[in-house]
Amino acid sequence: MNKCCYIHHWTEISLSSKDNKDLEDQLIIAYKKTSINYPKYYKMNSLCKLAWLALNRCLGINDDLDHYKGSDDIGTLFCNNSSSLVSDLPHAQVLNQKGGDVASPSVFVYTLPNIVNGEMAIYMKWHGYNEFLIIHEQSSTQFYNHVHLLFETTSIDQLLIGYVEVGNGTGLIEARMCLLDRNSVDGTMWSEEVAKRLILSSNK
Amino acid sequence: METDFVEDFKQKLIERLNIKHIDPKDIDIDAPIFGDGLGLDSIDALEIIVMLDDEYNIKFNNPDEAKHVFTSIRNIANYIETQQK
Amino acid sequence: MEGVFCHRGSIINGFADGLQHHWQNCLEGKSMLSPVVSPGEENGYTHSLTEGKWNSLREKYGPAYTKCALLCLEALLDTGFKADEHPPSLIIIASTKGDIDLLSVENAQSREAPFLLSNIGKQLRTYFQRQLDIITLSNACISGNQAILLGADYIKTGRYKHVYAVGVDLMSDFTFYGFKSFKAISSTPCKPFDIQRTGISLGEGAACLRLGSEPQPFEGLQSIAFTTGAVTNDANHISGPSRDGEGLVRAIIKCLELADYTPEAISLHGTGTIFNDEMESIAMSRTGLDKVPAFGLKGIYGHTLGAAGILETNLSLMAMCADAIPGTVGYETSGTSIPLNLSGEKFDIHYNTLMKTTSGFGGGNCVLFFKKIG
Repeated sequence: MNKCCYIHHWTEISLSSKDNKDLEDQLIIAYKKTSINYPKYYKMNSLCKLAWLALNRCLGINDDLDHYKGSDDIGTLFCNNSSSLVSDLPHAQVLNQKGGDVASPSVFVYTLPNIVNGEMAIYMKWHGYNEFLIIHEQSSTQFYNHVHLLFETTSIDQLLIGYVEVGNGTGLIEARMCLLDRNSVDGTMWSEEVAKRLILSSNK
Repeated sequence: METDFVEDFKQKLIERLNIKHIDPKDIDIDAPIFGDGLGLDSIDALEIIVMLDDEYNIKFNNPDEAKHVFTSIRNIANYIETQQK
Repeated sequence: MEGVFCHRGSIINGFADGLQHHWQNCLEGKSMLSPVVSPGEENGYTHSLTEGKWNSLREKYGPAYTKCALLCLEALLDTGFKADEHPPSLIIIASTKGDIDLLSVENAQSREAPFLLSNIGKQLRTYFQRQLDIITLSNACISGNQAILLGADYIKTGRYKHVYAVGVDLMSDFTFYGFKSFKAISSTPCKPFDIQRTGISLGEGAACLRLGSEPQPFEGLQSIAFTTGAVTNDANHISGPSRDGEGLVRAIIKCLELADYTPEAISLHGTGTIFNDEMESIAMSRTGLDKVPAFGLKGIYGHTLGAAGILETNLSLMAMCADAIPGTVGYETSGTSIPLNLSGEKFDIHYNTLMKTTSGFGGGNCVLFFKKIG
C-alpha cells in the first residue's frame, strides 16, 4: 500500500534568536547572502522568510530553481507546532494596547500558517496541492503515512515537505525541508525514521 | 522640493510598509505609488489607511474613498497637512 | 479503492441543536446574524453563542475545557462518535485560529499553552481518556472542505473505516478586528453575490461530518457518496483571489475529469466580499457552470472560517436529500459580472449531484463533489 518516494535535497536551517528584531535582522542578512532579487521577501513574516530561505537552499542546489517553477504537480506540505504565533502575538498586542481600529492589515494577513504555502506558491508559480498541518505530540508514523496518502490520492509527482518553526520569534528557530519524488529511484527512501527527523523539534 | 513634513511622512511610510530595503533617496515622492511606481499593493493601501487613522486621525471607510488621495507620496502628505489645518 | 459515504452531520452554534433544525432554518431562509454590540457605533453583524449556551456546554463537559474543545466535543458526539469504536476512527480537526482569544504575552512561549491549535486534540484525548487518532490542519477558509477531502481519502485507501471531519472557529476580537483592518466587514448582514454587497459577516461554531466506507442514508434520509475533490493554489496574492479565478477553475476542472459528471447544483463559498464573489462567478463561467442552480449559505450563520466547509457541506447534503436549492439569504440582485443561477427564495428541483466550493487566504481552493446513490 505504501509506495516508495525518494527524498532529495534535505535542508536544515537553525538559528538562535534573542528577540523578534534580532530574528528579522538575521533573516535579512541571510536573504542578502542568496543574491536573489525578490523584494516581496521584505513583506513576509519571519515564518515565511524562513521557509523561503529553506526552499531556495533545498531546490536551488545546482542552480536548479527554475526547473521547478511553474509546475502544477508539485504539492506543498508544511507543518509546525505554533502555527503563525510570530504574527499572532503582535496582532493581539495591538488590539490590547491600542484597540481594534488600528490593527495592521499587513500583520493580520500573516496570522495564518498556510500563508507559508501561499507565499511559496506565488514565488514558484505552483498551482498545485497545498496543506498545513499542526503537529504536537508528534506521531511521526502518522506523518509518514499521511505523505504516502497524498501520493496515492492526488496527482502530485513531487511534494515539498517542510517543518518550519519560529515560535514567537525568540529562542531556537528551525526549518527542515526536502523534496519527495514519486518517480525517482536514487536518493533516500521516505521512511518513519526520516519523518521523525523532519518533525521532531530540537526544543524540548 | 521636499518639506520637512513630507520627508517625515516618507520615513514613517517606509517603516510601516516594510520597504526599508529601498534607499529613501531612491523613493520619488511624485511617482505613482501603486503598480509600476513604488510597487505597493492592495494590502499596502489598507495599511496606509490605518496609518492615517493612527498617526493623523484621518479616517477613510474604504480604499475607494482614498483613491484620489493615494496617487503619490507628496499628494498624501499634502492631503494630511490640509486636513490638519 | 473503497467507496466513501456521508453518514451523519452536526452543526453546533448559537442556534438549536440537531442538523434537522438547522436545515429547517435554512429552508425558511432565516438569517441568524445579529449586530455586533460594541462601544460607539454598530460595527457589523455576526453569529455567536450566548453566554448561556457556553455555560450549558461547560456544565455538560466540564469547566476546564476551552471553547473550541467544547464545540468539537458536542459536534463529534452529535454525529454519534464513540471513542471505543473498533477499529478506531480518525478525527480530522480543521481550524484557522482555534482558541486564539486565550493568547497572551505571558503564555506565548509555552509549548502547552491553551491557545495552541494542537491543544484542541489534546483536550479530546483528555475527555475520552484515550489516545485517539487525530490530525489537525489549518489552511484558512478551505480547512473544512480539505478535512472532508482528506477524510475521504483515508477511507478510500482502506486506512480507516470511519472519519470525523470537525471544523471549528470562534468569533474573537482577534479575527473581527483583523478583517476590519481589511475593510472586509460588512456593516449590514452579508449579501453574497448581491450588487450591494460590501463584505463578510463572521460566525462561530463547530460542524462535524462523519464519513464511512459503508453505504448508509445520510441522517437516515438518503445515501450520498463523496465522489472526488481537489485542492489547488492561485499562486497570485496571499489575501485576494485571482481576478480570473484560476486556482478555483483548476480545482473544478480536476474534479470534472475525475468525477465524470457535471454537478447539477452548486454550494458556493460566497463570502459577500466584492472580490471573492466576483471571482467565483468568473470561475463558474470559465468552467461552463454559471447556469447550474446554485446557492450561498453565509447569509444564515455568517462566515465560520475553519468550520465553514463542513457546516455548509452538511446543510448542502440536507438540501440534496430534500431536492431543494436553498434561497441565498442576503441575495436580491445579481452583482457579479457573470450572473449566476441564484435566488433569494428557495426552489425545488430534482438533482443527484452537487459541488461544494471554498477559497481562502493563502490562495487555496478546495472543491468537493457529492452524488446520491440508489
